[in-house]
Amino acid sequence: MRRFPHITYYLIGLGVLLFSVVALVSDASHNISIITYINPAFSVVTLIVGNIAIGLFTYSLLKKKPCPLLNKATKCLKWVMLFFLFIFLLEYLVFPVVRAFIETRDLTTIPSKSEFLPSVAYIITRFAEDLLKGMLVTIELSLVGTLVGLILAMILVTLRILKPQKQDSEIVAFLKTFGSKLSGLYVNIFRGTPMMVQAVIIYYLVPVLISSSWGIPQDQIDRVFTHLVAGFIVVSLNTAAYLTEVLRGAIEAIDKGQMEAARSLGLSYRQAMLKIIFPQAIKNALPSIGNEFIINIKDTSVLNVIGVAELFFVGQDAKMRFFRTYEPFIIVALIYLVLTLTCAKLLAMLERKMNLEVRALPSSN
Amino acid sequence: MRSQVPTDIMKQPILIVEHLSKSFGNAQVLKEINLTVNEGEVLCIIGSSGSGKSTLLRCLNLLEIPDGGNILFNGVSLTIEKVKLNELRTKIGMVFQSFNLFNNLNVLDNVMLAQTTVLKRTKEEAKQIAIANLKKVGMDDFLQRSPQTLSGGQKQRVAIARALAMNPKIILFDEPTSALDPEMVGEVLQVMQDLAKEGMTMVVVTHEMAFAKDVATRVIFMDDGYIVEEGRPEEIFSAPKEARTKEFLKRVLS
Repeated sequence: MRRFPHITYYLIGLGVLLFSVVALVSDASHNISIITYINPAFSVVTLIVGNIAIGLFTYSLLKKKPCPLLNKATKCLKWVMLFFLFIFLLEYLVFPVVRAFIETRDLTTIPSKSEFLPSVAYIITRFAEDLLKGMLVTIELSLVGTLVGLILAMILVTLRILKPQKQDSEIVAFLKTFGSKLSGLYVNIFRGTPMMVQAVIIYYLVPVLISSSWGIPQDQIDRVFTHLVAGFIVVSLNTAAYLTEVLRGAIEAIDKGQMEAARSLGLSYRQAMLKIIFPQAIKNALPSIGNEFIINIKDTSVLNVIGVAELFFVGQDAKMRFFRTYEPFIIVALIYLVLTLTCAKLLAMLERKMNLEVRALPSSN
Repeated sequence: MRSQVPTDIMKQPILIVEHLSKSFGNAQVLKEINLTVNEGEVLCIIGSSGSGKSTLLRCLNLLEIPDGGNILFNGVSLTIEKVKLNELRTKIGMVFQSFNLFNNLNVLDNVMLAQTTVLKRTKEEAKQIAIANLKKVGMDDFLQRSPQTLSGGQKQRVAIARALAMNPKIILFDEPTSALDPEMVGEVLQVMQDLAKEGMTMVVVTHEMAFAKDVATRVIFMDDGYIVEEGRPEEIFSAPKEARTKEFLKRVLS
């Protein structure tokens, strides 16, 4: 087992596969259930593929004919397996206990205001589905927002760092200065105004602009430009501004010699940027990008002003539904805390892994 | 200024510098530099820090844009506007004081990158050439290592292989041993000496007087942005003509 940890993963995978087949058959119709959110057929297919791959990999290792492609695939699948294992453990070990606890109490009516913990338990059980949905929306918003923001930031930062050179013609020099200034302006505007205000302006202004400039009826636009879509756009644009500055710092921190060496070998400025400077800058900026993601998890709560059903919005919903003021938000706060702490932990693991790859020094040479 | 080149190595001029000048702000670091480098020559540039020798070297492949004057490489002027600079730079190799290996690539990819992106060689061809050149500098056992795990001397040898892989007509060395521990200077100088024996044209800015004496075919002494004295190493080191050269040599050789 120690020499071939893959066998362990293989066995875990098989066990989880068994669980998921059971889930598929029983249709997972429980009171509190995560499995209803994951398509059982999807999980079964994923697990079968994973098991075959890990099995093959273990076989190739035993035969001492390692295959690098399988190795990479197995490393990813390992995490998929562990994720499913986590879900199934929750489903079949934790939730039954919770259910049993709930059933011992009479939770058909909301407990009185003086009973804090029962109230919280009641709201959680009654609102589990909405809370879970809100959590997923929050994660989606911050994940997609950070990724799209990063892509936008890469474009913006390429503009930002343009500097007119001596040998440039006048028009090129002007365009470069213009691009750099424009990108700077964007960063200043989006960093200098609150995301809440940006959200409101974008949500109400964009449909008006589109309908007036292309003459598309308002209700048709609203069908596409939903609360959630507006939310994605706002988070992406806002994140882009912050990450532009992060990337600029990372690029400027790279030793000038790297660019000089690339240019002295005949690489163009663009090639040197793409192949040498950007990869290093992004790697150095990874901790800050991760931070931005964690900040986004919290900051997407302001999107409730445009009616995006994220976690805070769900909390407000619960407040109206149960006529309780602070209990729902304590639950929401705890979920935020769990989300941010988990993400911080995962990011720290990722960073450690990346650093290890660089510092790994096999003494076999 | 003596512009006579010793007759025994008189060959085709590969690099001609005419009236080169360069200033940073108000400080003029290069003043009226005239220089000819012939094929197969090993030209060492010596002088105290701040005398403009590194700037001169960096002007030769336009890492610094000169303010005035002309540089002819193989008869093509580098300072006119429409020159294909990137193509020309592949023929002028450069080795830096701080190695400047690409930190995001391993040793092999460092040597392969410019071959595949600039010279458009196929991957197999580039790999073969890379390995051959790494073998030449004795670094072919380190193909998959990342630059951070190498010693200074090893890094500099990889940097030399990286320059060689482009099949340059001339290699510029910018104080290649100044950032090295004393015990690693030897291995790099050895590689450079081997290159010189093979007939590679080299321009070396150096503080290694012994190397200049033994390997150089011509030595240039620079001071305050001027070329003060120029000649064969034995002339410069044993019988310098200018007072400033004498003073400098007295300081570094004692």
